[in-house]
Amino acid sequence: MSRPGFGRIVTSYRQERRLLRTPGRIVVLVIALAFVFLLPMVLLQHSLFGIPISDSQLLGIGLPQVNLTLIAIMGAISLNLLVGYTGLISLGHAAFFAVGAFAAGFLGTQLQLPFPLVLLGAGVAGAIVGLLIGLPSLRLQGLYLMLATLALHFVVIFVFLQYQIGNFSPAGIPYLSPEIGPLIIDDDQKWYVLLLIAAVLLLLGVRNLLRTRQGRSFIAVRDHEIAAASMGINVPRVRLTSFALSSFVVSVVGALYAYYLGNIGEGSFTLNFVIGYFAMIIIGGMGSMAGPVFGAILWSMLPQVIQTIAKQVPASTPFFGQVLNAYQGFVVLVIVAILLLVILRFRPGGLNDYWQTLKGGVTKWPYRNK
Amino acid sequence: MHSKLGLALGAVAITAVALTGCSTGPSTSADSPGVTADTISIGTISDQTGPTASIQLPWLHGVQSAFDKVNKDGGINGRKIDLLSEDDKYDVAIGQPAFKKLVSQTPTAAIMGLNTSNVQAAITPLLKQSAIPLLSGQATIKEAVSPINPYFFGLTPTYADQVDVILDYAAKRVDKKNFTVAVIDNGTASGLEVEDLVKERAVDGIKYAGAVVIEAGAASVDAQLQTIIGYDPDVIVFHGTSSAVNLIARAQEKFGTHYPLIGIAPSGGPSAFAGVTPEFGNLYEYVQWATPFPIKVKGTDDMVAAAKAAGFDKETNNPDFVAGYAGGLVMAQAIKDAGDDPTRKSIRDALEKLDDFSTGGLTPNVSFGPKDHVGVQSLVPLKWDYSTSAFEAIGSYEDYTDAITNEYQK
Amino acid sequence: MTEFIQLVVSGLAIGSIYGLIALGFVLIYKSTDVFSFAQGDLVMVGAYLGFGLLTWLGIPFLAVIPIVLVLAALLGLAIQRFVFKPMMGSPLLIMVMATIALSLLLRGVVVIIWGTGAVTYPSTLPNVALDIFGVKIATVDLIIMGVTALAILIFGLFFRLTRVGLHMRAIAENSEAAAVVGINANRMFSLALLIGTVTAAVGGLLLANLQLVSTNISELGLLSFPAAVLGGMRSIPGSVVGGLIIGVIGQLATGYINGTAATAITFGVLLVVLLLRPQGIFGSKGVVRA
Repeated sequence: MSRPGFGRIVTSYRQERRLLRTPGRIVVLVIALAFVFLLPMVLLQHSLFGIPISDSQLLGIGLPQVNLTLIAIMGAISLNLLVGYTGLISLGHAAFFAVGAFAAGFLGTQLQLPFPLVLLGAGVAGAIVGLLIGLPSLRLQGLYLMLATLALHFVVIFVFLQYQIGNFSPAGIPYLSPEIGPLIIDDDQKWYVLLLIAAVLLLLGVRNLLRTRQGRSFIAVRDHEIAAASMGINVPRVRLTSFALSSFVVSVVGALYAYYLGNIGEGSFTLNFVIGYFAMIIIGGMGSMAGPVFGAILWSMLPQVIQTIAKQVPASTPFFGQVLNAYQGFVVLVIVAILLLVILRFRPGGLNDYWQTLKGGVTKWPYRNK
Repeated sequence: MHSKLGLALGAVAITAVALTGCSTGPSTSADSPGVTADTISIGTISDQTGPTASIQLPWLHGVQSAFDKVNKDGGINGRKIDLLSEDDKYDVAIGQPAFKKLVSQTPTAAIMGLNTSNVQAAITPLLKQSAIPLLSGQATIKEAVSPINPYFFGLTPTYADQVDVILDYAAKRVDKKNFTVAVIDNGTASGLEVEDLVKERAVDGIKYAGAVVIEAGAASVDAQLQTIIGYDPDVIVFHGTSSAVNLIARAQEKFGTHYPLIGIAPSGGPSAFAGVTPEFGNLYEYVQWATPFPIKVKGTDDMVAAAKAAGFDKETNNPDFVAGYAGGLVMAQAIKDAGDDPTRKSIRDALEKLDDFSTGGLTPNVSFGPKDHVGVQSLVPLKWDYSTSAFEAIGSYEDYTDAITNEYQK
Repeated sequence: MTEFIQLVVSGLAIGSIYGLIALGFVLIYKSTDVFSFAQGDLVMVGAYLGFGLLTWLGIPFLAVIPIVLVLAALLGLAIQRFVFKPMMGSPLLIMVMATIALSLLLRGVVVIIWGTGAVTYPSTLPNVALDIFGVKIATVDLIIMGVTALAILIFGLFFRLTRVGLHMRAIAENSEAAAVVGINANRMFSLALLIGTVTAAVGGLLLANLQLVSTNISELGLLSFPAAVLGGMRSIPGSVVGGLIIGVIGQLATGYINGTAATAITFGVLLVVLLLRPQGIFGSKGVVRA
């Protein structure tokens, strides 16, 4: 009996309830685990099963970049919850990272509290700030909320600078290696494990949240406020919940970011930081689970890729050579800008759109994905 | 239901254990990473495409010119220098992975640069762990030299040293022993450090009047100049960029005030003087530890030749370029002193043993020691000559060596 | 007391530039409902275009002005055609991100052409310091204030007295109804973009006479948002008034407190205005609450 649609068909109720429903899913899970497991080894030893790989073949990517990408993924997912799923445009992303870094500095470096407690404290601090700013401003229309959070950005950064100067040094706030029980996380491999677990937990958490009543009310509020209100959803309260929840998560990510970098100064949180995250979720595809992941990976890896390409192009090539070598950062900027414009115009669903098409095409094969 | 949860948790746990258990250290092919039979890799971390690129990029060009010259002259002990430059874009989040890359991914024998102070602060604690020596290029922050970090070598004088020389020269410039000083800075962390340093030195007849902030991107400094007028200082210590200097000069033109300004090393550059009449433009001078062309010293000709060969002949009048070039010479000397088989450790030791190394007068002589990791011990004020469009030195390095109190080494 | 007046006068001078930028910004918003983050970068482009013409081609400043205005107009039309028009009617976030992408693009292109360093105009506008009753003001400042006042006058007359102005007001009021009466919406949008870009370019040319030209200029665009909100997002005279107020607040804050606090305070004021009176000074209530 032919089974069309590779990996898609489920033929019994018992099978439906299993975690790994179909052979396809098992295969995917095994491949994913293998990738995740092998990645650090490949990056550190520059070889795969004994075959050596050069640095440029790896596009100059190392474990530190992967760790930062994991942090970016978490930041993007939490921003997406607010912007993509609840429809609230907030420019305060960097401000909440700063709140997390501040909490990590105060609770962690100054008070020397245990690491899990510091993370919790960072989240609570973020949620409080989120509530404080959310209560008055969430009544405003989208545009004005955006401006209010822009104002929040400048005010928070100013306060952070005062805290940094007052309690630490102009060079920045230092962070010690986090300790979880007997384990000290002081090198990139351990960070990789920690960040990977955190990212997976966050991803699963948000995905499950969106399946609950609370989560679905976020989406309802985004899509059509009045209809949502007429269904009995308390729109202001839902917005506030989403804002506080997102702020909680972003601050925790901010604390992790601070610990990972080991030193944060006031220059770390700029508007470009915020714009970067927005670029991530838009290019990746807002309002989807995989979108922020794609966007974060693209945004984090693109500079490396461009740099590696730039190394291959000799400086003497007319126009391209000189520009690539002297102004790499701006080439990246221009590419991202063009990418954004193209996606916004032609495929607002972002990379996730392409991914869904691809996935559909594979699982429904040999039928068309219509 | 339980089986699902259990399966999921089990998968996570297994992955975690497996990953932690399997963490292997970075594998290096040789005992001396970055060194092969005929090349030695040296890395740099600096801002190439970020907001301070206009100051840091010339530095990198100077280093490139110096290394090109060394390679052309046959290399060091038979090895050519391979320069691996990383861009930190003024951001710790980029600078830190760049550092790790230069340690293990594309290993180098030594690193130069870390000219962005935030990045320097973040990476200095990691130097010991990675056992790799670092020669700073344009900035030396306090935390990197006090307490002494065995792997960090600050070529640049610290802010404390610069303020010492500035105040010493200020007394000469206003021709008074007792004078009032105000500070203008850009409001960042390092600016506030300069404020504190000046405040500390406001003793024995030197009065501290106050500080004023000019933020990056400010469009007008009328208000700041008004505050300064309220302070009525004899001299102003300046920290910031050349754009801010330019704004102040224009404001002074407008208000008709003539307050002299003396800036720290990274604040100057020819663009500060553009579009302002000499009467007001020349109120600004700044202290530097690198001697730009056309001020002639022993090493100038070699430097100009090297710059031309590398394609950077337009930058020889920029002290930042000269600073990079001199840094390259220092690093090349250390590699030479490290012998036939240099390692990270032997280069570190060689750096520490440098005593009175001459860069041909392009900088004060460089000395390090077990208790002193700041290499250059003097600066000289520079003034701009509008008629020749070039800088002139006011005195020589020796004139100001005594002013330095080595505050951070105490 | 003189100090206070001096700060206010300086604030008015710099505020005129904010007002000019905010004017273009509000005009675009009023006509097309698009919140353009790219306004500050258009100022930068204007300044750099002027610089390019002055130094590469050696054209005297008086001739440069109209050329830059024409180039800016063309740029505005191009932006309308390629960026705004395809995205009319999209949700707010999409439009905002598109303008942000535009601003990144402009910044990247400018740096690739002219580098990251600051550049300066060879002396162009007469810059003499005048002393009026103890208050100092430079002729450049007066020229800037004059240009801004002229701009308000021209636009005021334009919207009130000309046919095209009337059409634009109609589109801003209700684009569907205006289309029904036969007004070509697209053409009006193009015009709005054109004027907005040209005012930004003028701002850039003026600014370049006050200071060194660098990519930092685009940050001034950020300050035009509080200006626009203060004045009421849809009011053109309001935008200029808002700009003046922001300029004065900034100078007072810098003078009496310090420079870093000034930005925080300016945005703090924005925050307070948004929370208490989001429609600004001249805006009408009811358009803002969610």
